[in-house]
Amino acid sequence: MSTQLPEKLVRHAGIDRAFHWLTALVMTVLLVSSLLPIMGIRFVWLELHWSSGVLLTVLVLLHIVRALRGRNGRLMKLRRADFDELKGTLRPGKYSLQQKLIHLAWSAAILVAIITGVVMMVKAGTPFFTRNPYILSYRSWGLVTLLHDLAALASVFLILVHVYFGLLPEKRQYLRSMVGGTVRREELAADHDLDRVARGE
Amino acid sequence: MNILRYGHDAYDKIVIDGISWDMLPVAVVAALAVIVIHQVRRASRKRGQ
Repeated sequence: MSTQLPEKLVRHAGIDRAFHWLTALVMTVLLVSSLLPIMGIRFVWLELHWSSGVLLTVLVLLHIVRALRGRNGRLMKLRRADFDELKGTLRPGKYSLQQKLIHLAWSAAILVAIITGVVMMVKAGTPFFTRNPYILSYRSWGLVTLLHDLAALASVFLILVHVYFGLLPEKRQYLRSMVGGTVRREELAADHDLDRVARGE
Repeated sequence: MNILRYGHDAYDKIVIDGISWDMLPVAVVAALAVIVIHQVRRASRKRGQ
């Protein structure tokens, strides 16, 4: 079945690559605008931070809609059988166990950041919400901020690990496909089961 | 090193304000630890081939 696959496979459609790189840019702006003031570099960060957060929310909503409508969401779903890759009894389909796990970690961190961020926008006051710091108690605001901070720290960790694996020579095919969209069949065959890829797994 | 930031509510009770920014280097060190462990495993696998 794998021979049915063309010599060059489209791994990431243009819209998915645009989502990836725009999200990377927005995440960088979000982390820079929140962490630099903590490091003592003072500037007007709040407007930049919440407006980038709104852009991230829009991007994530579009990504979720696309994942639910197409087969991309199913391809990224973590299954019990995926753990057989650790035993070497199963080779990955389109996405490896590690790729599914880091996507899951990203999903958790970003969703927590977005949900808590939207709540914090009510406290800060933005064109979207009338400022009202009294909708939550002081203690509850602390817990919301704690979750937002944890999501930020998790994002710092995930960005460093993600960039490291993306730059490894043996993983270069993934980086190239995230730039150009395609991957060569024999290059993919080194780490993936082409029959599973052809079956859309 | 502090794990959490604390503040006082209207009744002067101590409440959590968020994560202590002392934890920022911990996130970086954790990522570096993953990278080092992976590099060591990668090198030993290459030597075994």
